[in-house]
Amino acid sequence: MNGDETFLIVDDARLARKMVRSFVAKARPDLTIFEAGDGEEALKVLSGIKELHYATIDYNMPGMNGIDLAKIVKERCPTARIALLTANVQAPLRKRAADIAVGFIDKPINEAKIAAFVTQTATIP
Amino acid sequence: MSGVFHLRPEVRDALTEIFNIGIGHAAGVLSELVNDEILLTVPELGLTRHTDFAAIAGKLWHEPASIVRQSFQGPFRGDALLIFPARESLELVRILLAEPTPIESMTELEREALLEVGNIILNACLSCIADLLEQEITNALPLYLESDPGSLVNSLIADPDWYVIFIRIDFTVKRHNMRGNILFVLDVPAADAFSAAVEKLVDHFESEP
Repeated sequence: MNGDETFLIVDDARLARKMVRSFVAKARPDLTIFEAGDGEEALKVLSGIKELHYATIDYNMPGMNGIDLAKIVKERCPTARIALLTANVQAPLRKRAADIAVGFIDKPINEAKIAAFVTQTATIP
Repeated sequence: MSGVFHLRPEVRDALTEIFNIGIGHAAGVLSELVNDEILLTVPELGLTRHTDFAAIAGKLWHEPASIVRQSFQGPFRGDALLIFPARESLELVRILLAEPTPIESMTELEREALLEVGNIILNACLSCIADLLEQEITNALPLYLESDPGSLVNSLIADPDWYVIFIRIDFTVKRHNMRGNILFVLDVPAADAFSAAVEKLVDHFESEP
């Protein structure tokens, strides 16, 4: 059953969104899940959500990149737990995410990585 | 006509994402090797008969290229190619070998260095794809070639019905303005087996709540 807490998935790949949705639903069936295919759509979705609790954001997307989007989301929703979810596993990008207090989850994702993120046991912000 | 040309949009999207993940990991490896950030473009998936590929190749590469070819086998067999413009591959080798003097042509040691880099990058990419699809892919020894990519692809092709799955991700080594491409060449049964494996993955997650 969906509850008051919300989860936003931002990824231009439909498969990635489906996978995250599936793993989130398994780990936290109480969360209400929203999806967006790019930064612009994410901001539109965000304006319709009362309060955001979790978000995973892809880095390499058409238009705005994931770091720029994460900065805006953090500004609007300072208490939300946000992670960059990307196949771009390079150290400079991990550092840029850490610098803005955003977590980092590397693709390919699995159930354990998403479960750790939504049950708040991972060592990320 | 083979099923690979009739992919559902979501399967096509998944194919692109799978290569994106593989190449993302390969870029991570390259970044460590050259101690620099690798900038990646959003991936673009191309699927064409090899007979049409020469025209595409002509638009993408205007000069001879340094190519590392990694043949692979498993549920689908084919060739993965890492392609650098020849001049830029020299720059890459120079960074790797910490060689300060300008070099005009490639020595044996430099060829070996580039081959090893290609081997590491293409293996990172192929291993990641294999894991995602829960398949085992085995690799032959990598080969180094200097050629134009269109001619090379034609020389790999035994049958006019072979496909070229062309994942175009341009990558740039940030401080050195170096770029390259990764290309996959699959035959008809391989392309069908590959797209079937991707379809299975998509169906699994489509059926989830």
